[in-house]
Amino acid sequence: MRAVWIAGLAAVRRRRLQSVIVGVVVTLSSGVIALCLALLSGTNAPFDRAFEQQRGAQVTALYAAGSAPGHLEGTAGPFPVATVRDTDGASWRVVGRADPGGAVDRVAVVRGRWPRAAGEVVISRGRWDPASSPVGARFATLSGEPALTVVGVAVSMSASADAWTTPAQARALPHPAGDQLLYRFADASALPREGLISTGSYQTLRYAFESRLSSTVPMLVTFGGLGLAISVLIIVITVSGAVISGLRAIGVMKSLGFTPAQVVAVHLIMIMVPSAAGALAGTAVGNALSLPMLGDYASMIGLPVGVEVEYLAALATYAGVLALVAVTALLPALRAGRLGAVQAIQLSAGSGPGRSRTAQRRLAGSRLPIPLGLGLGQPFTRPARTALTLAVLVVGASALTFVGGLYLSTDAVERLQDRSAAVQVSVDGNPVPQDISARLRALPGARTLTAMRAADARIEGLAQSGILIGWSGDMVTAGYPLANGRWFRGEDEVVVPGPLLRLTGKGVGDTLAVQLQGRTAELRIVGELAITKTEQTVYVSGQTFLHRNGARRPYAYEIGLAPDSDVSAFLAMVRAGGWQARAIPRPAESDVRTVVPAFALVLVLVTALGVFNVVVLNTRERRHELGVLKSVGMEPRQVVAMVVTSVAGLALFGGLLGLPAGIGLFRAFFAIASEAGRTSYPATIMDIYDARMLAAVVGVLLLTAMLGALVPAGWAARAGTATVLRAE
Amino acid sequence: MNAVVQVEAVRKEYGETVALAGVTLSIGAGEAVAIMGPSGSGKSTLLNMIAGLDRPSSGLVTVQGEELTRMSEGALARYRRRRIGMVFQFFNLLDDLPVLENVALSARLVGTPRRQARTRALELLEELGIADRRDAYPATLSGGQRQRVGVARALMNRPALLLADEPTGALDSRSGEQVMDLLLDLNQIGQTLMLVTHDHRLAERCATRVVHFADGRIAEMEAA
Ligand SMILES: Nc1ncnc2c1ncn2[C@@H]1O[C@H](COP(=O)(O)OP(=O)(O)OP(=O)(O)O)[C@@H](O)[C@H]1O
Ligand SMILES: [Mg+2]
Repeated sequence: MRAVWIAGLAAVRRRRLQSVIVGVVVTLSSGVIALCLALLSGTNAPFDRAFEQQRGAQVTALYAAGSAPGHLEGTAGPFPVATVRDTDGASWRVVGRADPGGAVDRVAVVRGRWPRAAGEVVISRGRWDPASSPVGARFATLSGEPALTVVGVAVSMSASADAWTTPAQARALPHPAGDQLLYRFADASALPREGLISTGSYQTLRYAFESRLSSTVPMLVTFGGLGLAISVLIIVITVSGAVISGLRAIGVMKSLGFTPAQVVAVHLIMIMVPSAAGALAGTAVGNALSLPMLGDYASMIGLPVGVEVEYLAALATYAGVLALVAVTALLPALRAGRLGAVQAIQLSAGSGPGRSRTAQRRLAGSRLPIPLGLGLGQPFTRPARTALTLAVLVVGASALTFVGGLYLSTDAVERLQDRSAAVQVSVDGNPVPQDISARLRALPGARTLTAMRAADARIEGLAQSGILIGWSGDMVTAGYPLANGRWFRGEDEVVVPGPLLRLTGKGVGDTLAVQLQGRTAELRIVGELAITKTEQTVYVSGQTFLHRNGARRPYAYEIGLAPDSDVSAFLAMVRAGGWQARAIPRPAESDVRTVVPAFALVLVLVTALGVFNVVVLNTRERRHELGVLKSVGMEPRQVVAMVVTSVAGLALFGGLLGLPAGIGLFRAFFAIASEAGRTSYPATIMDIYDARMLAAVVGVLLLTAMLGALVPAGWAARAGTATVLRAE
Repeated sequence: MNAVVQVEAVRKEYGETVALAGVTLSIGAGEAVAIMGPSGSGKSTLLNMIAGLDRPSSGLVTVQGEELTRMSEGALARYRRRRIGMVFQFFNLLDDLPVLENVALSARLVGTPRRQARTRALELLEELGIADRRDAYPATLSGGQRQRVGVARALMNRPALLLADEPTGALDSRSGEQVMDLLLDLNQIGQTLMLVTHDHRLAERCATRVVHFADGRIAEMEAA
């Protein structure tokens, strides 16, 4: 046993470069694996888990002051509630709570601390604006309210308040709203009715949360899965390669009297020592890196921090990586243990079978320059390793394709919704001159003018009340993409948002009953509005609107400007005319734009690392052949060209295989995301890929592979020749 | 002066080991020089210096007026394929390529068109009497056949200098004999030749001059 250890450790030292490579690869891969697993765990029922962790309230009830029932099992409160208006006029629900913990609705303080004295307030993160009210700043309220100082930021999974203060301070605020009771049971009908003002259910919160996450979760699952796959593949390639190239020593070991089992053990030690160290470092770093990422993710999606290192999961990752390494090392080692010394050396040298030679001969004898012909033939010498490398490249290519599709579709969605070349003139409540349309239309730069009218309506299939919008004048279809059908042309035609169709089970061509002013109108659905997540707004022509709803003044006019016109100058001009006008903001930039490039970069690096390893293994195994080639006059740059070509061909092939896989992945992702988000998209989104994007994916993959090959190719070109030619 | 090779005060050290301790040697066109000496005396090292496969620690190596010590690696590679051919004790053929491609290799590296390179390779294989094995893989050939492929490859680009490091060392005596004849024939049609050997008979038959090495130095030089 001692001899085995000594031989194993000696092998680790002697094969220093290889040990370093195994260590580095296992470090990076297990880092990526830990990161991916953390991402995946973050996508697993995030609302429910956080809700349980914070013992969220299923029902938030507001009672008239003093009429809340006494203490019940599984409740918290009553807490005094007051309404505060900030300087913008927005209303805040301020709850007085002495303690953020308790049996129900544990509020997580994510910044600062909980209020201890009167005049202190903690803001809920959902409404917190770090710029206008950092911790320590005055909370800007309308005059007449006592001065409040922000001492912290907190998150409640039950959204039980916009801000919290001490009970005494809440009672002292000038606009009391009642008493809050928080319940941890699902059935709101069990609540005492007397004095009950309103209830809120966690189902609503959950619904909103999940529709917000509808695209994030499948995206992270895809990213995590792809990252895992590629890391596992790279570990397998490197470890099996290291074991195989170690087989040369078997003859010597056997002649020294090592049994097959001892041979296997030596090989395992040789691999496991650097792997154990690497996996430890990688798991630690991966978990450490995942913390800020998960923190960002949590705050992005509205969860309390609640992310801690899960030591058990980290340990499981560590054990899993080591098990993977051990199995990967064991298979070739077991085979080697059984082999005779000569066979083992043959296996190690990678002399190919007849079929592989045919391909090599053809390529070397082809019209191609000889370094390219030899390079292209090289993958045939090690079919198993080539298959693994190809798998890495295919996964890399499909991931890049997926990422490219995300990017293009995000871009397309933002462009489809873009109305930044329009200005809205709000005329609600203001006296308006008779000829307003003509005057607005006459403004220099104005292209189109649409009058917009709105009315409350009861829409078939909607529990809450809906809104009927009527457009007259020019159509403002830019910024309102359709998933199906067309815009209204005739009387009683309606365009409805996709979520409403999903809710009612109707489609384009069906009729929709809309109650207006107590009368029911049967409108024919001619179009389905895409992308929007709201379900309560439907659109008709101004004519239909006026006919069904009676005369009603527009609430706003939308003016479409000529492309490239100066929106702010136009706004200034409109405002100078005494009207309220605003530019229509661009849709918020999607977080896809920040997550995706980071992921793409990690992916490119990991793929390059995989290729780097393969090329290191190949050039070390083939150093004799390289020496021969150099002795007959192969120049260093020809060596580099040959080595780089050996992976470039694979990358091209892998890229072409990965494209359809990536497109399929993207389509599946989009279908899932739009189903989960109950959102419709124009069919063109599915065909978002253009030739340029596909060429870019293959190009990036090719460059990545060539970059990964370049360094070991340079080593191979510089390596001394005289020594390798001596020994045989 | 018609010296093909000019070696001046060449030293080579590998760490503590002094492989060459100051060697000066000149080889004229058409000469066949045999280098002999005990194992480890620096014979292969000298050959590697002349082939540009390794660089001297000090001293100069000039071949056909070109000074090797100043050349870049790329220039050395180009020098090797234009000016010299090498024959090794253990052949050093590429196992994954058939005989014809092995021979054509050095011409293809220069950029000779495929067809032309093959024609030339086939001519050489014919001259050396192994044209019938042109599609065989090296592993299926006998040692003697493999060495003839090695010689064909070395001659491919019509080198000014043929270097052979124990070309018969791995062959049985009959095959060795044949390779010996081959080298002799080549020298007789004007090929400059430098060969390392332990075989006195080979040295006597082939060489116009025998150089004896000991401890990295030239111990004795005799005209054959
Ligand atoms: N790359 C190298 N690194 C270290 N030492 C070397 C190297 N090449 C040669 N040597 C040493 O230089 C000395 C001369 O070696 P060389 O191969 O030239 O001898 P040789 O005369 O060809 O011997 P042989 O007849 O056994 O082939 C020897 O001591 C050898 O160990
Ligand atoms: Mg020697």
